[in-house]
Amino acid sequence: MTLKVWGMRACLLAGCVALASGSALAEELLAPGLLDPTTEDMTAAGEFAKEGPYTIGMSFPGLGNTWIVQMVQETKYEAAKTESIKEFIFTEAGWASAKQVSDMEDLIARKVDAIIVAPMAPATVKNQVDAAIAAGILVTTYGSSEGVLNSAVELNLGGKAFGRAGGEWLKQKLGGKGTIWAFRGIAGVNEETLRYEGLMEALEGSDIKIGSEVFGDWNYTKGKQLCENLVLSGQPVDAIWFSGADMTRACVDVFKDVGKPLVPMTGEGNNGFLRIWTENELDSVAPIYTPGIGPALVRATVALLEGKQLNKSYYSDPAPITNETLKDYYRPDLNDAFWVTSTYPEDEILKNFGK
Amino acid sequence: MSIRQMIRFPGRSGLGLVALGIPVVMFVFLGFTAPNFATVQNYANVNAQIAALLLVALGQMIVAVSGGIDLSVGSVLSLTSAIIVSVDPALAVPAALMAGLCVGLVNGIGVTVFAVHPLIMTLASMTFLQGLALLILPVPGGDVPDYLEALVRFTFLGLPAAFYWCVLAVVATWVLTSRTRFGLRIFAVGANDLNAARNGVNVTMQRITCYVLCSFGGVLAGLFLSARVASAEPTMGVQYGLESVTAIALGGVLLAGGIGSVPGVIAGTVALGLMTNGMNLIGVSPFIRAAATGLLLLSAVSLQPRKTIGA
Repeated sequence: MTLKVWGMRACLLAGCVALASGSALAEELLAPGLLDPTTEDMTAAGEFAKEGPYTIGMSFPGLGNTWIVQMVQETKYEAAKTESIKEFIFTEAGWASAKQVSDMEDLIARKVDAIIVAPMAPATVKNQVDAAIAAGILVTTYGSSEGVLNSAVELNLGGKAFGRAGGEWLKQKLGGKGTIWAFRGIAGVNEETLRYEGLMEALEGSDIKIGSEVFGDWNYTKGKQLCENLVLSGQPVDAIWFSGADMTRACVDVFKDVGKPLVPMTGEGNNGFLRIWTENELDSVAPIYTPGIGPALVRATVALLEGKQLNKSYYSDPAPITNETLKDYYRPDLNDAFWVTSTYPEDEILKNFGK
Repeated sequence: MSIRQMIRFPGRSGLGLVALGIPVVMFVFLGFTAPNFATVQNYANVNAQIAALLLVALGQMIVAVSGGIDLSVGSVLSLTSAIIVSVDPALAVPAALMAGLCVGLVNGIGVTVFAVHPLIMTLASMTFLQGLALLILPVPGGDVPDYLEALVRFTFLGLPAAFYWCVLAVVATWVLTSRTRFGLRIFAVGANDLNAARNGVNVTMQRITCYVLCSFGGVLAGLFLSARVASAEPTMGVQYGLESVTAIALGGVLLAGGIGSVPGVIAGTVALGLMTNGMNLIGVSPFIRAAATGLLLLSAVSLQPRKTIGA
């Protein structure tokens, strides 16, 4: 065996070890199967180490639906039970990039030890991320910045894979042809655009056309109004793609109210939707967009501040909920606002979401 | 003038004790309670954070003094952001100003010539312009011209660029409203347009000019904000339409017209900026932040006299 082959084997082994240790850490960040490293690149040991206890700030784009509320509450719960965190400051920008820039500046002025940022669009907070790093503040990112942000670690979920999962399922259900409606999230938000691009990629080469496309803001109320308009307009529809959140539940309610037979609809891992799916024997698929991403970011940030190594990026892409696995996720003892999968202990789940 | 008289009769400026007192009280309160509030870096942050709102609010004040309201100014900001990354960099500013001129003319003509209520007119243009911005730039991004970024990033005599943007806008608006015939006439139009017309004021022209100036405020804010964020965003101005109304109301500007002042707009804008900055520094839950802002506005407006001039 040549030296070159031995060298290659050694490199592969080193890569496997790195991935294995990263994978072990991923399981410390979220339950097994929910988060995987996407790169072999690791942060250096002790690179971001600081003396505790820590003040951690989080900059989030905005509020507006039950998923965000649960994610925020789980994140705060995680921070409160982590002894090394003395203060956790959560800011939300009301879906305005300029406000998010201000929030970031305020957190830097507050001299926090670390900032967790979920950018509305990576480019809009680039200067503030750079300023935070220059001020010695650790930055971890929710979502992929595709190299735009110089943050230490990125935890990503959803995006194109979310939209593609629904699109592929619809393509299969419709046999590659038909008319669908597309219910999108909030216009101009990066995550929304990525999900839609995922749908378009899935539909590429098929004879499925989008009959109507609306922005429901990931919101039950707006989604219901838009769905009512479309249903009452009599436009043909063979299936509906949703960009997630509460909009599918809203549209199922509309179909039931007007007595229109249900068509295949994509959903998301929300207990209210899972209830409707179960009760109406709906034909659906629901990608899981875990609210545990917030707590996972807190865990990753603390790990880095304690000097531990992490992979530079992770992605959450668990298998979507299908007609076959629905019963494993639906909780009839919980209300409609609960989202799977949760990092809350069972007693907290029952306290916050029990009927 | 006694304190009681100041509260009851702030005059044509609307600048009573409440309008001036709110930012002062907030400043003192945050100085004692918010960690790292009283630092040079934080003051610079607050300055940069309120600059765009001040630019929009000054324009909104001009329209409000004349008896109107412009909800579309936030969408003008969004449209400006979309335009400057979508055209040749050399044409970015002229194109945005031209768009602002067109929007102001349409709003003004709609309100005056076609007698559409300002709320309806500007609500319609707000929706149209927001859609147009999303059509031009569906997703955030693009490269803001370098010269614009340089104009918001420089420091001179140790003061940040945002300070100079604010000073220029404040001085220009103050001169326009307090030292020109135009300023005198818009106060007259806002207080009583019939009387103003009988005294030879061209009410239609004055009001159209007000809407054009307000749109220019939106364009300037769009240029500033896009350069500050270093990226364009088609929904960048969404909250600025209503926030500018909030800022001028806090500053004692009477939305029925005829009362208002540049110092009042500064006070209102600073109060809103300190509210956001202070709550971030203190770590107030976002769930109660909006409610607290609403309460502040309600309290401030309730404490201000609501009499129109001559009433």
